[in-house]
Amino acid sequence: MSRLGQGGLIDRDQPLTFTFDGRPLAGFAGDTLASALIANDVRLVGRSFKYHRPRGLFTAGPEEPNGLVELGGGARRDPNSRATTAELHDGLVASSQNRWPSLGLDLLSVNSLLAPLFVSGFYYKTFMWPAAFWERLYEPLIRRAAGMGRASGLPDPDAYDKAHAFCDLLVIGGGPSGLAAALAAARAGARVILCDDDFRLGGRLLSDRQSVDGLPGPDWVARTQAELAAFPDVRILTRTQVFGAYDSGVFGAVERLADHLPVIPEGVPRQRLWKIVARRSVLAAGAVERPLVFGGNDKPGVMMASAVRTYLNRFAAAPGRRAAVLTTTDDGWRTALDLQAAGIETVAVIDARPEAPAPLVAAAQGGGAQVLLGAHITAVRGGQGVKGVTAAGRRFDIDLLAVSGGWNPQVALSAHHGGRPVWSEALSSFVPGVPPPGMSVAGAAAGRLTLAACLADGADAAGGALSELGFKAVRPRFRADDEPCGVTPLWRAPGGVGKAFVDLQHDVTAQDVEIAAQEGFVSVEHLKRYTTLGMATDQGKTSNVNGHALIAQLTGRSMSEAGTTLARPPHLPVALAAFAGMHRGAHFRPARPTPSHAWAEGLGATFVDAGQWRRAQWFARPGETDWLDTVRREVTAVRTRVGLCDVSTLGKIDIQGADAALFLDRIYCNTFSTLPVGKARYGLMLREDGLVLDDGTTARLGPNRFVMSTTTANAARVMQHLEYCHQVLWPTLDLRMASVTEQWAQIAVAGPLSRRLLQTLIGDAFDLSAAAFPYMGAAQFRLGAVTVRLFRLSFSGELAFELAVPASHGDALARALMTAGADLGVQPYGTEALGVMRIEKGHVGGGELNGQTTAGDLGLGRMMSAKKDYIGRDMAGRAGLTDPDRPSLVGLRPVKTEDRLRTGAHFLDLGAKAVAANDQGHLTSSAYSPTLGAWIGLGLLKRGLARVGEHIRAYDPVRGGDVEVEVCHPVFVDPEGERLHA
Amino acid sequence: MLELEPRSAFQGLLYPQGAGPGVSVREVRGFALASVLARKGADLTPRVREIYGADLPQGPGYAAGAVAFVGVGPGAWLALGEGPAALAGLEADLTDLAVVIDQSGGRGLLRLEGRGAADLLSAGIFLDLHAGAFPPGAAASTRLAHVSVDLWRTGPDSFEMLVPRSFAPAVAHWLSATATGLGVALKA
Amino acid sequence: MRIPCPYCGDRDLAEFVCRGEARPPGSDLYLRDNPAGPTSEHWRHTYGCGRWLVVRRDTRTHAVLQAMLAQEPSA
Repeated sequence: MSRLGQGGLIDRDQPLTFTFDGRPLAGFAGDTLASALIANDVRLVGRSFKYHRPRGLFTAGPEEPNGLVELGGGARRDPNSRATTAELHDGLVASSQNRWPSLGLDLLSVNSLLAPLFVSGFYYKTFMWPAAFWERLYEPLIRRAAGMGRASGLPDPDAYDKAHAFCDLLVIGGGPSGLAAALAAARAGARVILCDDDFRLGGRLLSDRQSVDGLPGPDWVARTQAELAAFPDVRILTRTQVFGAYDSGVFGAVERLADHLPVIPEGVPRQRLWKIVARRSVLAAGAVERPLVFGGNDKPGVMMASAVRTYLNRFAAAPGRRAAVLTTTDDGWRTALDLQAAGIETVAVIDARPEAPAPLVAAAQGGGAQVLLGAHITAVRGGQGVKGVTAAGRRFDIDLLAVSGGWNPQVALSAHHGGRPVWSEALSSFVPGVPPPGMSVAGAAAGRLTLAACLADGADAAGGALSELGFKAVRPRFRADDEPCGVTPLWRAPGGVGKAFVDLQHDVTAQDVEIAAQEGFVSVEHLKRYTTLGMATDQGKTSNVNGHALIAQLTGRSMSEAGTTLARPPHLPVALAAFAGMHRGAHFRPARPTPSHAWAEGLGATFVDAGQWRRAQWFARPGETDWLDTVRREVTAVRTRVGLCDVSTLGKIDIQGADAALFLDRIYCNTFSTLPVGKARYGLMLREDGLVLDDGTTARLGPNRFVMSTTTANAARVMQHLEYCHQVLWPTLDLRMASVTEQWAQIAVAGPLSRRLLQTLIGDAFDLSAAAFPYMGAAQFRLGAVTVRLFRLSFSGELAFELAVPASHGDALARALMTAGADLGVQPYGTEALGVMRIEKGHVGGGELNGQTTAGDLGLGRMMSAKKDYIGRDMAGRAGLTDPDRPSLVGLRPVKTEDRLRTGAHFLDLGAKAVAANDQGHLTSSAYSPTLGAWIGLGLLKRGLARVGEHIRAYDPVRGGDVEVEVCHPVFVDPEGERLHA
Repeated sequence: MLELEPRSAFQGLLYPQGAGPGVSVREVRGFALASVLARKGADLTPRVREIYGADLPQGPGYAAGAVAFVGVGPGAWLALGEGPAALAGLEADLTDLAVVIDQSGGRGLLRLEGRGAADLLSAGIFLDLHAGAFPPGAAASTRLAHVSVDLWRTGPDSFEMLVPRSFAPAVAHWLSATATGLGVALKA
Repeated sequence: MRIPCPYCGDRDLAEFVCRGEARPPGSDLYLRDNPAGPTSEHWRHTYGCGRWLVVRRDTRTHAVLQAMLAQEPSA
């Protein structure tokens, strides 16, 4: 055990057990997986991406490049999880990844011997030829060799949800700067949201031995958190990662609600996606310590100095027994002192700088460390872990090398609106450029490194933001250290043997950067893509700046000239499931039942999704094994007796006003101002570009009152179009309109017996005789307690009516119609039978109204009025849209009646080669017609009806169809319309 | 004479769940609802005050009277009355001033009450429902999950919400799943 | 992104539908200026008041400069 005997923010009264690669281990509440592994002396946690080199924990935070593990098992297996942020819980199961057969003996580590092959640009150069080998051979090989974790491959068993929040000030980061900012804002009376990715507020205050206002860091954090929590308008979200700064002060954040629980309680979401609207924000995301680039810098036991302090002070876990520090900063020296304070033998402090602050030097020496100034490490010994280093010719036997290269402010969120970070010579780091509007950056994220500066900066940033919002700002002041924080950057330590890694997660070395420079990939964006620097799941949080500094040096440019890559959301990986929330599977989008859904369900209907609507597709009866049998029966029932079908999904728009008729004349290509009251008319509307937008019937219920129907699919689009035409194009027209799609349940009653059925139902409330209510009649009257609308419309070609009642009464209407029609043999029919009958009648539907057809293409060219202007008129006259060669609507039937037609088949002349150049059009709809006893189809064929009688091929290579068909008129049943007018 | 039995939008869709104080979600049944669209240049305010005793909201607001009016757009309101016949005279009362279109059958009306009601709704509605920003009398036509809804606040912890009838099952599922996720009980 | 609907107030982008650049009728079929900078577009507050708006915004920053009703309420 390397657990220190005392200290740390762990709860020693709450022991936890967990396993790593099957080994049972123990930790405490308050541990991360990483700190528990360290406390259990586990040094080797993974194999590297490309070379399968042994790797150990490198950091203690979300920037971790090495410690990626699979968490959980079964469907919950979560690959590429950072051990450094995974909160330990009882029963946690973790396993290493990218190793085979085991972590200790990884056979693919031979990749390391092939290293010369794996340098930057290797894939591009080596696997170029022959091209066909890429998919079949190279890619599978590479993927097997250079892998990350494995996805479970099973459906995600967990729930996810979403939430929204609004605040005056969003504080991103709960370290000293963030806490100071939140406190200032809360005391001023503002609405505050404070987010921190960690499960505990405090940031570096939990990891460093510092005090605020005379209290030890963690105690001050606890006191501050308690004060904040007492404000009603302060919300503290821990375990919450703000991953993106979007437009207008909108932020995306993901809260982990259950990843730390041994068992997720039923229904509790695993994660919650927050959208937060903040009038102002303070980015206090802190800084990430910079590694040093030297030979052997990736061996287990080499660890960031700040992480060493975190493991010692926060988790009471010793990452080694004999340590040395390699530094170019004053922070490194503090690490040596913390190691000594924890009782860990610290043999040397190796500072590349010629000088270091004398008090630090004296203290380190007092603790027994040898001090080497202006020195470098020339060799790192050890295979699966550091055994020793050589510096300035001296050998030190150690198992832990703490490395300190300075700090990189976490500026990513400040760059999400495109403001590139700028290089500060004074701070030796990239600092925020122009942050998004309303955002200020405070503390270490702005390059301020001492505790006192961070606290003051946080309070000032919040104070400034609140003053802008009109709050009387309170700027609390805190007593804290201004500790030494000098940094002299060192981008490439001289000497050393072995690979010097820049990007540990993607195995990019200093040599790779040199090759990129030699080959001309000198822009940081090109460097990134050529070497894959910073493209791993850690997005280069520890590697980017070093890589960019190296390319700057190699090309003789300053850091400012070389610049850095642009960060985009998300700042850390976010599970796609979090974005989906509860909208997946059956709830992917709302399913809209029709008003008669419960009735149809009771009859055992099979339902189909028609856009968002869920409609009855057919009503199978016992003994019917094939849906075609069912549909055949339903069609026959309508053609010989009577059937009913819920058609409420058609869009319905109520249009009223003195100019309503004029408006419709402009919307439709045919005329509506001449439509008498009490009649309906079929209308066709075009888009501005002259192609067909939609069709439907519109009825005139009064001199200034119309009710329009649209297709189901286009209901919303047509409403939007009408509103646009009225509000933008013709605002002076006097009319008002409202969608009444939801208001009316409409049921089609179709078939030769439909009149008898309806008359039975409505009695003497209305006269349905052909004389009183002819084809295309429309009426509104009272039936019992409700107002109903009746239309004599037919989609099936039979004598038919559509009866509309308020949707609340739709279910009852369907039941009443069934009862009234029982003696007549009424049957319900679904969308499939509806579709068959409209094809038999040659009515255009979705296959023909496909956004590429003109009125002429659909055989409706005569509807286009020459006497008035309407939307689409001019553009419909374009040569391309009036070309007689355009495919236009025809009917098709197979020459051999047993042949089946399939929608999507392409037309070819008999004997023509099946190539695109010979394409004559395609089959847009097809169905088995019970009436004709054969398959029939509608299609768009070049020169259309001019070819009636001709034989052509319906060629369908995808499904293996090749059928000889005869071109015919598209109306297969009752072409004279006698049944319709009965 | 044929009498058709109405079916409310949320019939069979709302169930109590969880324990504790929670939020009560009840469907209001048998209401009358209409779109009221002012005719060109017409001012409805005096007439509505005179007949219905309601101050017609000039923005997105809710005003109760013999009939309640909810502002849903410039020159556009929803009129809401208790009982199916509550708006029987509305069209005649306003005919020279407004187009009145019956919507009674097309929506479900929910009443949500309880301390957690605003937080529950906020999970699906991207609107600031803090009492300071959305006080009693405030209204909004907005989006809950993927559904168009009209929402107004009737008291510190009470809201009413109109849901298009065909979306009632989606909203009922959303309510149940979200309340579970937030640990909020749903009561009748 | 938030758009300040003149009737409803600040609302999320997801409540709106964008039709494209606001150009004189007839010239908006295939022609687009696509400027880098301020531009006026037609947006409809579909999940709100349903009004068509003229929204002026900067394509470089996504800052919404102004939003007004395409049609005055009295019209």
